[in-house]
Amino acid sequence: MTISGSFRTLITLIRYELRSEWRQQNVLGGIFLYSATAVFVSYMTFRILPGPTWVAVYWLIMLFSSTHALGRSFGQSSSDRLLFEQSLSAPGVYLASKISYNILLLSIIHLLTTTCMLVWVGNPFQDLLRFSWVAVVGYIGLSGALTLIAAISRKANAQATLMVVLSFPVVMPLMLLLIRLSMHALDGLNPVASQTYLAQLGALDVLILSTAFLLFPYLWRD
Amino acid sequence: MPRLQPYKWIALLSLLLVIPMGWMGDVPRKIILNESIRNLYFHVPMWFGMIFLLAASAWHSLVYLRKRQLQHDHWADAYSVVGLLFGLLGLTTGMVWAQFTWGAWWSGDPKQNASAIALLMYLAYRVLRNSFTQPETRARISAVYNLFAFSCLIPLLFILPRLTDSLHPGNGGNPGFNSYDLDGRMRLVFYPAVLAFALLGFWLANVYARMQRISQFLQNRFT
Repeated sequence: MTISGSFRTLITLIRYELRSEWRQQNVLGGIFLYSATAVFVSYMTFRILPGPTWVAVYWLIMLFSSTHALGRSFGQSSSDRLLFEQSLSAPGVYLASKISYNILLLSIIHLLTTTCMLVWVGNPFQDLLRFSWVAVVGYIGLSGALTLIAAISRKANAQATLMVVLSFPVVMPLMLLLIRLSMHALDGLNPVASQTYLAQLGALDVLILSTAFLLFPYLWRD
Repeated sequence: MPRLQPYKWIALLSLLLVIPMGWMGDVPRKIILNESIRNLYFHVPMWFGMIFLLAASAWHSLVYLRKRQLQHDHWADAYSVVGLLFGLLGLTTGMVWAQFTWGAWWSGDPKQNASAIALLMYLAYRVLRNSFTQPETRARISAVYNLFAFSCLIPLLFILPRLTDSLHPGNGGNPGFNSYDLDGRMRLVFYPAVLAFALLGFWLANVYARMQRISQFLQNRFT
Protein backbone atom coordinates (compact mmCIF):
# COMPACT_ATOMS: atom_id res chain seq x y z
CA MET A 1 0.00 0.00 0.00
CA THR A 2 1.30 3.46 -0.82
CA ILE A 3 1.62 6.14 1.84
CA SER A 4 -1.24 8.22 0.48
CA GLY A 5 -3.29 5.03 0.17
CA SER A 6 -2.73 4.10 3.81
CA PHE A 7 -3.49 7.66 4.81
CA ARG A 8 -6.79 7.49 2.97
CA THR A 9 -7.58 4.16 4.68
CA LEU A 10 -6.70 5.74 8.01
CA ILE A 11 -9.15 8.60 7.45
CA THR A 12 -11.82 6.17 6.32
CA LEU A 13 -11.36 4.01 9.40
CA ILE A 14 -11.51 7.00 11.76
CA ARG A 15 -14.69 8.25 10.07
CA TYR A 16 -16.14 4.76 10.27
CA GLU A 17 -15.30 4.67 13.97
CA LEU A 18 -16.88 8.08 14.54
CA ARG A 19 -20.02 7.09 12.70
CA SER A 20 -20.50 3.81 14.54
CA GLU A 21 -19.88 5.60 17.85
CA TRP A 22 -22.46 8.20 16.88
CA ARG A 23 -25.00 5.45 16.28
CA GLN A 24 -24.56 4.20 19.83
CA GLN A 25 -24.92 7.47 21.64
CA ASN A 26 -25.95 5.78 24.86
CA VAL A 27 -22.47 4.24 25.19
CA LEU A 28 -20.75 7.56 24.57
CA GLY A 29 -23.17 9.31 26.90
CA GLY A 30 -22.44 6.71 29.55
CA ILE A 31 -18.74 7.48 29.40
CA PHE A 32 -19.29 11.22 29.73
CA LEU A 33 -21.76 10.71 32.55
CA TYR A 34 -19.18 8.55 34.33
CA SER A 35 -16.72 11.48 34.53
CA ALA A 36 -19.38 14.05 35.32
CA THR A 37 -20.78 11.92 38.14
CA ALA A 38 -17.31 11.31 39.55
CA VAL A 39 -16.65 15.06 39.58
CA PHE A 40 -19.97 15.68 41.27
CA VAL A 41 -19.22 13.07 43.93
CA SER A 42 -15.91 14.76 44.68
CA TYR A 43 -17.71 18.11 44.83
CA MET A 44 -20.18 16.69 47.37
CA THR A 45 -17.31 15.34 49.48
CA PHE A 46 -14.85 18.24 49.22
CA ARG A 47 -16.88 21.30 48.13
CA ILE A 48 -13.91 23.51 47.21
CA LEU A 49 -10.71 21.66 46.37
CA PRO A 50 -7.30 23.10 47.18
CA GLY A 51 -4.84 23.05 44.24
CA PRO A 52 -2.83 19.82 44.74
CA THR A 53 -5.99 17.88 45.65
CA TRP A 54 -7.69 19.28 42.53
CA VAL A 55 -4.90 17.83 40.42
CA ALA A 56 -4.96 14.50 42.26
CA VAL A 57 -8.74 14.13 41.94
CA TYR A 58 -8.66 15.16 38.29
CA TRP A 59 -6.03 12.57 37.36
CA LEU A 60 -7.76 9.85 39.37
CA ILE A 61 -11.02 10.51 37.57
CA MET A 62 -9.26 10.62 34.20
CA LEU A 63 -7.35 7.41 34.93
CA PHE A 64 -10.54 5.54 35.71
CA SER A 65 -12.70 7.00 32.98
CA SER A 66 -10.01 6.54 30.33
CA THR A 67 -9.48 2.86 31.17
CA HIS A 68 -13.25 2.50 31.18
CA ALA A 69 -13.67 4.33 27.85
CA LEU A 70 -10.73 2.81 26.00
CA GLY A 71 -11.31 -0.66 27.40
CA ARG A 72 -14.00 -1.07 24.76
CA SER A 73 -11.75 -0.07 21.86
CA PHE A 74 -11.95 -3.57 20.47
CA GLY A 75 -14.71 -4.91 22.65
CA GLN A 76 -17.75 -3.26 21.16
CA SER A 77 -17.62 -4.96 17.80
CA SER A 78 -18.50 -8.61 17.42
CA SER A 79 -15.67 -10.85 16.30
CA ASP A 80 -17.17 -11.06 12.80
CA ARG A 81 -17.16 -7.31 12.45
CA LEU A 82 -13.68 -7.10 13.89
CA LEU A 83 -12.46 -9.55 11.27
CA PHE A 84 -14.14 -7.46 8.57
CA GLU A 85 -12.57 -4.23 9.84
CA GLN A 86 -9.19 -5.89 10.05
CA SER A 87 -9.39 -7.28 6.55
CA LEU A 88 -9.66 -3.72 5.21
CA SER A 89 -6.22 -2.55 6.22
CA ALA A 90 -2.73 -3.30 7.47
CA PRO A 91 -2.31 -3.72 11.24
CA GLY A 92 -0.34 -0.48 11.57
CA VAL A 93 -3.02 1.59 9.86
CA TYR A 94 -5.75 -0.09 11.87
CA LEU A 95 -3.96 0.61 15.16
CA ALA A 96 -3.27 4.18 14.07
CA SER A 97 -6.96 4.74 13.44
CA LYS A 98 -7.88 3.34 16.86
CA ILE A 99 -5.22 5.41 18.63
CA SER A 100 -6.16 8.65 16.83
CA TYR A 101 -9.81 8.12 17.57
CA ASN A 102 -8.96 7.44 21.21
CA ILE A 103 -6.84 10.58 21.48
CA LEU A 104 -9.85 12.52 20.24
CA LEU A 105 -12.14 10.75 22.70
CA LEU A 106 -9.78 11.36 25.63
CA SER A 107 -9.46 15.03 24.72
CA ILE A 108 -13.22 15.39 24.73
CA ILE A 109 -13.49 13.64 28.12
CA HIS A 110 -10.68 15.91 29.31
CA LEU A 111 -12.55 19.06 28.23
CA LEU A 112 -15.74 17.83 29.83
CA THR A 113 -14.12 16.79 33.12
CA THR A 114 -12.14 20.03 33.35
CA THR A 115 -15.22 22.12 32.69
CA CYS A 116 -17.25 20.25 35.31
CA MET A 117 -14.43 20.61 37.83
CA LEU A 118 -14.04 24.33 37.13
CA VAL A 119 -17.75 24.83 37.67
CA TRP A 120 -18.12 22.72 40.81
CA VAL A 121 -14.85 22.60 42.68
CA GLY A 122 -13.24 25.85 41.56
CA ASN A 123 -10.24 26.94 39.54
CA PRO A 124 -6.95 26.86 41.46
CA PHE A 125 -4.79 27.23 38.31
CA GLN A 126 -2.44 30.10 37.58
CA ASP A 127 -2.04 28.85 34.04
CA LEU A 128 -5.09 26.85 33.00
CA LEU A 129 -4.24 26.87 29.31
CA ARG A 130 -0.89 25.17 29.88
CA PHE A 131 -2.55 22.49 32.01
CA SER A 132 -4.99 21.81 29.17
CA TRP A 133 -2.49 21.29 26.41
CA VAL A 134 0.01 19.42 28.56
CA ALA A 135 -2.75 16.95 29.38
CA VAL A 136 -3.46 16.48 25.67
CA VAL A 137 0.23 15.74 25.02
CA GLY A 138 -0.04 13.08 27.73
CA TYR A 139 -3.16 11.60 26.14
CA ILE A 140 -1.15 10.67 23.06
CA GLY A 141 0.88 8.22 25.14
CA LEU A 142 -2.04 7.24 27.34
CA SER A 143 -4.13 6.41 24.31
CA GLY A 144 -1.30 4.34 22.81
CA ALA A 145 -0.80 2.31 25.98
CA LEU A 146 -4.47 1.78 26.74
CA THR A 147 -5.34 0.83 23.16
CA LEU A 148 -2.67 -1.87 23.15
CA ILE A 149 -3.77 -3.15 26.56
CA ALA A 150 -7.39 -3.15 25.38
CA ALA A 151 -6.36 -5.37 22.47
CA ILE A 152 -4.53 -7.67 24.89
CA SER A 153 -7.38 -7.94 27.35
CA ARG A 154 -9.86 -8.58 24.55
CA LYS A 155 -7.84 -11.65 23.63
CA ALA A 156 -8.17 -12.79 27.24
CA ASN A 157 -11.95 -12.50 26.96
CA ALA A 158 -11.80 -9.01 28.40
CA GLN A 159 -12.91 -8.79 31.94
CA ALA A 160 -12.96 -5.19 33.13
CA THR A 161 -10.64 -6.12 36.02
CA LEU A 162 -7.94 -7.35 33.70
CA MET A 163 -7.93 -4.08 31.78
CA VAL A 164 -7.40 -2.12 34.99
CA VAL A 165 -4.81 -4.48 36.45
CA LEU A 166 -2.77 -4.55 33.25
CA SER A 167 -2.91 -0.87 32.45
CA PHE A 168 -2.50 1.00 35.75
CA PRO A 169 1.12 0.03 36.44
CA VAL A 170 2.07 0.55 32.80
CA VAL A 171 0.70 4.08 32.55
CA MET A 172 2.10 5.08 35.95
CA PRO A 173 5.32 6.72 34.61
CA LEU A 174 3.17 8.82 32.29
CA MET A 175 0.88 9.76 35.17
CA LEU A 176 3.80 10.79 37.39
CA LEU A 177 5.10 13.16 34.71
CA LEU A 178 1.63 14.53 34.00
CA ILE A 179 0.96 15.20 37.67
CA ARG A 180 4.31 16.94 37.98
CA LEU A 181 3.57 19.14 34.95
CA SER A 182 0.05 19.89 36.20
CA MET A 183 1.56 21.08 39.47
CA HIS A 184 3.79 23.45 37.49
CA ALA A 185 0.74 24.86 35.70
CA LEU A 186 -1.01 25.12 39.05
CA ASP A 187 1.74 27.32 40.47
CA GLY A 188 2.17 29.16 37.17
CA LEU A 189 5.89 28.37 37.10
CA ASN A 190 8.02 29.79 34.33
CA PRO A 191 7.61 27.43 31.33
CA VAL A 192 11.38 27.00 31.25
CA ALA A 193 11.10 25.03 34.49
CA SER A 194 8.81 22.48 32.84
CA GLN A 195 10.92 22.02 29.72
CA THR A 196 12.81 18.95 30.91
CA TYR A 197 9.64 17.22 32.05
CA LEU A 198 7.88 18.11 28.83
CA ALA A 199 10.73 16.65 26.81
CA GLN A 200 10.51 13.49 28.89
CA LEU A 201 6.77 13.33 28.38
CA GLY A 202 7.33 13.56 24.62
CA ALA A 203 10.00 10.87 24.76
CA LEU A 204 7.69 8.60 26.75
CA ASP A 205 4.92 9.17 24.16
CA VAL A 206 7.31 8.17 21.39
CA LEU A 207 8.48 5.12 23.33
CA ILE A 208 4.95 3.91 24.06
CA LEU A 209 3.69 4.52 20.51
CA SER A 210 6.63 2.83 18.84
CA THR A 211 6.38 -0.21 21.15
CA ALA A 212 2.65 -0.40 20.50
CA PHE A 213 3.14 -0.29 16.72
CA LEU A 214 5.87 -2.92 16.88
CA LEU A 215 3.82 -5.28 19.05
CA PHE A 216 0.32 -4.85 17.65
CA PRO A 217 0.83 -7.08 14.57
CA TYR A 218 1.23 -10.02 16.97
CA LEU A 219 -2.23 -9.41 18.38
CA TRP A 220 -3.61 -9.33 14.89
CA ARG A 221 -6.31 -11.86 14.05
CA ASP A 222 -5.63 -15.42 15.18
CA MET B 1 31.35 -34.58 42.85
CA PRO B 2 28.09 -33.39 41.24
CA ARG B 3 28.30 -32.47 37.58
CA LEU B 4 27.24 -28.86 37.30
CA GLN B 5 27.45 -26.32 34.51
CA PRO B 6 30.30 -23.85 35.09
CA TYR B 7 28.00 -20.92 35.93
CA LYS B 8 26.49 -22.92 38.77
CA TRP B 9 29.95 -23.58 40.18
CA ILE B 10 30.72 -19.87 39.99
CA ALA B 11 27.43 -19.09 41.77
CA LEU B 12 28.13 -21.64 44.52
CA LEU B 13 31.71 -20.58 45.13
CA SER B 14 30.97 -16.87 45.17
CA LEU B 15 28.01 -17.42 47.51
CA LEU B 16 30.37 -19.30 49.83
CA LEU B 17 32.53 -16.17 49.85
CA VAL B 18 29.71 -13.64 50.01
CA ILE B 19 27.58 -15.01 52.83
CA PRO B 20 30.22 -15.29 55.58
CA MET B 21 32.09 -12.19 54.41
CA GLY B 22 28.82 -10.29 54.09
CA TRP B 23 27.90 -10.95 57.70
CA MET B 24 31.33 -10.94 59.31
CA GLY B 25 33.73 -9.04 57.04
CA ASP B 26 35.14 -5.67 57.99
CA VAL B 27 32.99 -2.66 57.06
CA PRO B 28 33.57 1.07 57.53
CA ARG B 29 31.91 2.53 60.64
CA LYS B 30 29.41 5.21 59.63
CA ILE B 31 27.00 7.06 61.86
CA ILE B 32 23.34 6.11 61.38
CA LEU B 33 24.26 3.37 58.89
CA ASN B 34 26.33 1.35 61.36
CA GLU B 35 26.11 -2.36 60.61
CA SER B 36 23.15 -1.82 58.26
CA ILE B 37 25.72 -0.92 55.62
CA ARG B 38 25.97 -4.67 55.05
CA ASN B 39 22.64 -4.44 53.30
CA LEU B 40 24.67 -3.35 50.27
CA TYR B 41 25.69 -6.99 49.84
CA PHE B 42 22.15 -8.33 49.84
CA HIS B 43 19.77 -5.55 48.80
CA VAL B 44 21.58 -4.12 45.79
CA PRO B 45 22.36 -7.49 44.13
CA MET B 46 18.64 -8.29 44.32
CA TRP B 47 17.87 -5.33 42.05
CA PHE B 48 20.69 -6.13 39.67
CA GLY B 49 19.48 -9.71 39.57
CA MET B 50 15.90 -8.60 38.97
CA ILE B 51 16.89 -6.41 36.02
CA PHE B 52 18.96 -9.20 34.46
CA LEU B 53 16.19 -11.76 34.94
CA LEU B 54 13.44 -9.52 33.60
CA ALA B 55 15.61 -8.63 30.62
CA ALA B 56 16.14 -12.34 29.97
CA SER B 57 12.39 -12.86 30.26
CA ALA B 58 11.70 -10.08 27.75
CA TRP B 59 14.34 -11.55 25.44
CA HIS B 60 12.66 -14.96 25.46
CA SER B 61 9.28 -13.34 24.80
CA LEU B 62 10.81 -11.65 21.77
CA VAL B 63 12.29 -14.91 20.54
CA TYR B 64 8.93 -16.61 21.09
CA LEU B 65 7.16 -14.05 18.90
CA ARG B 66 9.76 -14.63 16.19
CA LYS B 67 10.00 -18.41 16.32
CA ARG B 68 6.77 -19.59 17.99
CA GLN B 69 8.45 -22.36 19.98
CA LEU B 70 6.71 -22.98 23.28
CA GLN B 71 9.92 -23.63 25.17
CA HIS B 72 10.73 -19.92 24.89
CA ASP B 73 7.44 -19.15 26.59
CA HIS B 74 8.41 -21.47 29.45
CA TRP B 75 11.71 -19.63 29.77
CA ALA B 76 10.03 -16.21 29.73
CA ASP B 77 7.67 -17.46 32.43
CA ALA B 78 10.46 -18.86 34.61
CA TYR B 79 12.65 -15.76 34.37
CA SER B 80 9.76 -13.48 35.21
CA VAL B 81 8.79 -15.57 38.26
CA VAL B 82 12.30 -15.49 39.67
CA GLY B 83 12.64 -11.80 38.73
CA LEU B 84 9.48 -11.14 40.72
CA LEU B 85 10.90 -13.07 43.67
CA PHE B 86 14.10 -11.03 43.54
CA GLY B 87 12.06 -7.83 43.33
CA LEU B 88 10.05 -8.80 46.42
CA LEU B 89 13.24 -9.66 48.32
CA GLY B 90 14.85 -6.40 47.20
CA LEU B 91 11.82 -4.44 48.36
CA THR B 92 11.73 -6.25 51.71
CA THR B 93 15.44 -5.83 52.45
CA GLY B 94 15.11 -2.19 51.40
CA MET B 95 12.14 -1.63 53.71
CA VAL B 96 13.85 -3.19 56.71
CA TRP B 97 16.91 -1.06 56.04
CA ALA B 98 14.77 2.06 55.61
CA GLN B 99 13.03 1.47 58.94
CA PHE B 100 16.36 1.57 60.76
CA THR B 101 18.00 4.41 58.84
CA TRP B 102 15.15 6.64 57.60
CA GLY B 103 12.77 5.76 60.43
CA ALA B 104 9.86 4.41 58.37
CA TRP B 105 9.09 1.23 56.48
CA TRP B 106 7.64 3.22 53.63
CA SER B 107 8.50 6.86 53.15
CA GLY B 108 7.24 7.45 49.63
CA ASP B 109 10.76 7.48 48.29
CA PRO B 110 10.74 7.59 44.46
CA LYS B 111 12.76 4.40 44.26
CA GLN B 112 10.40 2.58 46.60
CA ASN B 113 7.42 3.75 44.59
CA ALA B 114 9.02 2.85 41.28
CA SER B 115 9.89 -0.63 42.44
CA ALA B 116 6.39 -1.16 43.81
CA ILE B 117 4.97 -0.22 40.41
CA ALA B 118 7.42 -2.60 38.73
CA LEU B 119 6.22 -5.42 40.97
CA LEU B 120 2.59 -4.58 40.16
CA MET B 121 3.42 -4.84 36.45
CA TYR B 122 4.84 -8.32 36.78
CA LEU B 123 2.07 -9.46 39.12
CA ALA B 124 -0.34 -8.30 36.42
CA TYR B 125 1.67 -10.40 33.97
CA ARG B 126 1.02 -13.44 36.21
CA VAL B 127 -2.71 -12.65 36.25
CA LEU B 128 -2.73 -12.30 32.47
CA ARG B 129 -0.93 -15.62 31.98
CA ASN B 130 -3.42 -17.40 34.17
CA SER B 131 -6.43 -16.11 32.28
CA PHE B 132 -5.71 -18.26 29.21
CA THR B 133 -6.29 -21.95 28.80
CA GLN B 134 -4.73 -22.51 25.40
CA PRO B 135 -0.91 -22.60 25.62
CA GLU B 136 -0.24 -20.96 22.24
CA THR B 137 -2.59 -18.04 22.80
CA ARG B 138 -1.22 -17.59 26.31
CA ALA B 139 2.34 -17.59 25.01
CA ARG B 140 1.66 -15.06 22.25
CA ILE B 141 -0.51 -12.57 24.15
CA SER B 142 1.54 -12.63 27.32
CA ALA B 143 4.74 -12.22 25.30
CA VAL B 144 3.29 -9.00 23.90
CA TYR B 145 2.44 -7.74 27.37
CA ASN B 146 5.81 -8.78 28.74
CA LEU B 147 7.65 -6.78 26.09
CA PHE B 148 5.40 -3.77 26.58
CA ALA B 149 5.80 -3.89 30.36
CA PHE B 150 9.56 -4.20 30.06
CA SER B 151 9.78 -1.18 27.79
CA CYS B 152 7.75 0.83 30.31
CA LEU B 153 9.96 -0.44 33.12
CA ILE B 154 13.10 1.17 31.72
CA PRO B 155 11.97 4.81 32.12
CA LEU B 156 10.38 3.88 35.43
CA LEU B 157 13.49 2.43 37.05
CA PHE B 158 16.26 4.43 35.46
CA ILE B 159 14.96 7.84 34.49
CA LEU B 160 12.12 8.94 36.76
CA PRO B 161 13.80 8.26 40.14
CA ARG B 162 16.70 10.43 39.04
CA LEU B 163 14.41 13.42 38.53
CA THR B 164 13.31 13.78 42.11
CA ASP B 165 15.22 14.24 45.30
CA SER B 166 15.44 11.13 47.33
CA LEU B 167 16.93 9.92 50.54
CA HIS B 168 18.15 6.86 48.72
CA PRO B 169 21.93 6.51 48.62
CA GLY B 170 23.22 7.84 45.32
CA ASN B 171 20.45 10.44 44.94
CA GLY B 172 19.98 14.15 45.49
CA GLY B 173 23.23 15.08 47.21
CA ASN B 174 23.08 12.02 49.41
CA PRO B 175 26.34 10.13 49.46
CA GLY B 176 26.00 7.01 47.37
CA PHE B 177 27.32 3.68 48.42
CA ASN B 178 29.93 4.25 45.78
CA SER B 179 31.86 6.45 48.18
CA TYR B 180 31.88 3.61 50.72
CA ASP B 181 32.67 0.77 48.45
CA LEU B 182 35.61 2.72 47.13
CA ASP B 183 36.68 1.13 50.33
CA GLY B 184 38.39 -1.89 48.76
CA ARG B 185 37.17 -4.30 51.42
CA MET B 186 33.51 -3.78 50.57
CA ARG B 187 34.13 -3.89 46.87
CA LEU B 188 35.76 -7.26 47.29
CA VAL B 189 32.49 -8.65 48.62
CA PHE B 190 30.01 -6.49 46.69
CA TYR B 191 31.05 -7.43 43.15
CA PRO B 192 31.06 -11.18 43.84
CA ALA B 193 27.68 -10.72 45.55
CA VAL B 194 26.15 -9.19 42.43
CA LEU B 195 27.56 -12.01 40.33
CA ALA B 196 26.56 -14.72 42.80
CA PHE B 197 22.96 -13.67 43.27
CA ALA B 198 22.40 -13.01 39.58
CA LEU B 199 23.73 -16.45 38.67
CA LEU B 200 21.70 -18.00 41.48
CA GLY B 201 18.63 -16.36 39.94
CA PHE B 202 19.36 -17.91 36.56
CA TRP B 203 19.87 -21.25 38.26
CA LEU B 204 16.51 -20.96 40.04
CA ALA B 205 14.82 -20.04 36.78
CA ASN B 206 16.42 -23.05 35.15
CA VAL B 207 15.02 -25.36 37.83
CA TYR B 208 11.59 -23.70 37.62
CA ALA B 209 11.42 -24.03 33.83
CA ARG B 210 12.35 -27.71 34.04
CA MET B 211 9.72 -28.28 36.71
CA GLN B 212 7.12 -26.65 34.49
CA ARG B 213 8.13 -28.82 31.58
CA ILE B 214 7.86 -32.00 33.65
CA SER B 215 4.47 -31.06 35.06
CA GLN B 216 3.20 -30.30 31.57
CA PHE B 217 4.51 -33.62 30.33
CA LEU B 218 2.78 -35.44 33.19
CA GLN B 219 -0.45 -33.56 32.56
CA ASN B 220 -0.44 -34.47 28.89
CA ARG B 221 0.29 -38.05 29.72
CA PHE B 222 -2.22 -38.76 32.46
CA THR B 223 -5.19 -36.63 31.49
